[in-house]
Amino acid sequence: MKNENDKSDRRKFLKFGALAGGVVLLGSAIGKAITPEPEKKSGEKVKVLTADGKLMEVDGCQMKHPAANKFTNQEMRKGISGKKFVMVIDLARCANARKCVEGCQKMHHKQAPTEWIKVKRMDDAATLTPYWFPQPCFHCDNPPCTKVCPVDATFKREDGLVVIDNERCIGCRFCMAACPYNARSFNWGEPIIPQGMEQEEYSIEKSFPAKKGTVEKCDFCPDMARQGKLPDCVTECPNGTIFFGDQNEDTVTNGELTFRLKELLTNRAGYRYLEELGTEPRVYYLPPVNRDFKFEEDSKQHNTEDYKII
Amino acid sequence: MEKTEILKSEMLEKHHLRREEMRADVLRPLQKSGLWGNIWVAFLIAIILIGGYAYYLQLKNGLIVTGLRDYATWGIYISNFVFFVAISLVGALISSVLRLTNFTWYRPLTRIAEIIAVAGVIWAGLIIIVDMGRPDRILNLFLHPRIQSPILWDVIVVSTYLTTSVLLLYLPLIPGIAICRNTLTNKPKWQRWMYKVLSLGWNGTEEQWKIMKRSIAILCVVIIPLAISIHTVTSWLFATTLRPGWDSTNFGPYFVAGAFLAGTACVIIGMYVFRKAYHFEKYLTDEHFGYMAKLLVFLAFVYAYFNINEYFIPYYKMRGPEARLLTDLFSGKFAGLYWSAQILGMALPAVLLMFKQMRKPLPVTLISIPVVVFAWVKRYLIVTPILIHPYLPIQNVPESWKNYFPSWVEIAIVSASLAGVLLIITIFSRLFPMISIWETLENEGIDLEEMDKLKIEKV
Amino acid sequence: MRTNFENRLLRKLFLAVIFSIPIVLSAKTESAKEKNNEVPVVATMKLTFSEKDSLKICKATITSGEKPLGGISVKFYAKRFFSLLPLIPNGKAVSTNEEGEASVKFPKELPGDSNGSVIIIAKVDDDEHYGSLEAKDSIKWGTIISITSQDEEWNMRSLSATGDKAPVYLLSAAGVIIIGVWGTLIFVIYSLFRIKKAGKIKK
Repeated sequence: MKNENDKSDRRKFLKFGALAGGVVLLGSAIGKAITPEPEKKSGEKVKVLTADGKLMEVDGCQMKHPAANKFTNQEMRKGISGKKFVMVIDLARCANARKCVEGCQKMHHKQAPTEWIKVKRMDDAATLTPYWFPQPCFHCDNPPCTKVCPVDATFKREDGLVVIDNERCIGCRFCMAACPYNARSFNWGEPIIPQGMEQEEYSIEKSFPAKKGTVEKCDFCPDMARQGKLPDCVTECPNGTIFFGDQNEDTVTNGELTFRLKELLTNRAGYRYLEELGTEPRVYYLPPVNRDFKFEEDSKQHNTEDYKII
Repeated sequence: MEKTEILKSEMLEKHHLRREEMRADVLRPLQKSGLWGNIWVAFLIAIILIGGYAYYLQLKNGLIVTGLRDYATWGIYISNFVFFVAISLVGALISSVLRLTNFTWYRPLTRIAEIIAVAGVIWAGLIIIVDMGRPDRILNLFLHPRIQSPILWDVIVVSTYLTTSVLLLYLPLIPGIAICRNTLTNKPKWQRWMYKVLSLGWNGTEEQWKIMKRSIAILCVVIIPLAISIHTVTSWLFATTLRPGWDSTNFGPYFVAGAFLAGTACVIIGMYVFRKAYHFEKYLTDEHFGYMAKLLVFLAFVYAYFNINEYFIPYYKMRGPEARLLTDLFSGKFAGLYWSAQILGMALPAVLLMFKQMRKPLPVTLISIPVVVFAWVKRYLIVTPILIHPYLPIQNVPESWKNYFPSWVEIAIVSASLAGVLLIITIFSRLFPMISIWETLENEGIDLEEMDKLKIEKV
Repeated sequence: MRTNFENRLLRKLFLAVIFSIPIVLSAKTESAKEKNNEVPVVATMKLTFSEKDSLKICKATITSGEKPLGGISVKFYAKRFFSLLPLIPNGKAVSTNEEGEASVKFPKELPGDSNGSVIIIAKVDDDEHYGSLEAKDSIKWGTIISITSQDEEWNMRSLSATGDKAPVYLLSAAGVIIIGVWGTLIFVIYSLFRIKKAGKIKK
């Protein structure tokens, strides 16, 4: 534009590049803020937003979350209308990269040894080859955990999610005992909260900030879903192992590939872990056939250190 | 005994003497406490204070100070809770089941059984609060109750059982308190005032006897389903889950049977202690120990029956995840505790007590001690091994998470709760007669109600 | 001099910010325009739907002016919450024929929104001559997702629902038991007062 005439000042102008860049980014943030909400949810824009995600990380994760704060406790207890979230984990793709674990810990500000999603080595029988088994909360449709909660601190939402209200939880840990998959963790001590985030308002959908003496677990990242974004375990996986989506739309995606849920489950013989327990998990597994990776032993030991009292 | 017109006044005189004698015997321990008694109380209070400090640390730092972690999420607090609930059942067994089945020998034991029940259920309620991560939010149970949760059932049934047990302890005690009021006039003012208030102006009028006896009869009926509920609901804390080892339809009766066994052994130990310390040989006789020993044998067999159902049948099938648990219990790292609990805590006592020589007070008491100790251990074995044998393998966790060993904080708090039970019993026994005079004399054919009536008529 | 330079810089900075907002907002249009500038021929894509003998077809027609463009790869998607679902399962493209038309069958039983509407998107990615093209339209061919039934199901009373949705049998059973037992206990407690009273009368 007009800049063409000011070539002499260009170098000096560049000195302020970083500052200017920052301001442009701010402009883009303002721009995004005034963009109407439905536009954001378009599948195409997800990728744009993912690219922008890096920019936001510069400012810290606060930028990711404010959207969740707009909802009342009542709304968050009901869930996202018309949705039925579902996850499909393709065991043939998992190479134990453990990026889902790290991504989840980063996203939720959790430290080892707390893992909301775990990757387990499964040895079904001596004659069978072991395989890696990423295990989040199954968000069961017949959840044994919500059944036993005495105070409505953990509950099933209309969108299929099982979440926890850490401001209600009394810490009896009955839900942890009731969960046959050990999907739940407990804040045994004072949780470590990143600096500058202590004052953040608690929200059920963020499961943050954690509270001492309460139960927590994988929440399927409803705050991200509100923004049309996939959970971090899905996007962080380098092998596209985890697919996430809406069962009502019959669609799941790992960010790159998108399939119809029913077709994927039919073609790949999808199953649910321990179906016979009747918990009706919302997480499906695709058996590890025609694996992308050969099974390799994990040379490293993870989470060897216990919590420290702070 | 036959009563004839001529003999009546003579007999009345005899009864009167017997009553005065018994009153003196029962009230003697209340006159003054000895040196050993005071050391004992000081010892209990010291343990409770240490436990209190441990609990302060736990409140300050969170449950991180315990040995509990994400897999072994329940530990000795919960097993202790189950144990306390278990021993509290005996109150109902002794004072109600035996009463309704027309036995009469139990009568001198009711007070001991009832105070064990009350102390047990009080501390059961307290220890469950200790286990909570957020005791400050306990009101949520009443602000946001969820009636579908077995915890809420437990809250309801524990509070109901506590009320019923206190009433069942208190009602038959009223004539006793009245005696204290009338005779213990050298006691401090507060104590005399307490007797005065608690005796409810008892004068032994016909109306008073009638109301009291009818109230006791009502409570005796109410307390049986309540006692069974309290422990069945406690077993449901486990049985309502899908965990291999807890997922059992046998759990309710299994827990109730075990509770009766443990509680009976507790009463035997209590009987022996009070017999020795308070010189109740005349009232807690060898015969009573003999009866209790036979009851213990019977209950041990009932418990053994449920144990076979609980362990042998799953062992026969060896279903996947349950197989790992059972192997660990039978021959793995819990084998020592498991077999001790089954043999020393159940089988051997039952066998030994079948011999008449063993049914003397001292041997019965010595045999009862391991029954109680291993009853506690058994509850630990019901809670923890199952939690560290889940469906999915435990991986990528610190080594200490794969096992559970209670920290000193937990041990201190649990010791404090045990001391607390003993303290309640001790203090109670210093203030109130430990043997129900009117119920015991009724056994001997001396009806105090009748005597009161005659006395009042004479006046 | 220095102040003059700074003033100019600030002015530029200000302009940059002002311009950046619409630029960022219309980033996509901008890039499309750039590509169009490189390629002199402007192509347009039109998305149409037709239904014949229960066969539902989504058709993309690419033209440049009046002239149909053949041999261009078009991909069809249905818009979903998190991503775009390819209408051809393996995500392959369809080439336009001589009439400039590429078409796919609308998949069976594809869920739409509460009205059954599905947003269909036809895309041409980086064609060497015509760049990227996109057309989208909504059509009511999807199966209807019933939110009300989901809502009803969620509001049903059950053992796993919230406390205010406890099953009636459980509430009534608990109520009867609690009232029955506590009624008795209160009666017994009331008896205590009667005992006290009974003592006084005789005095």
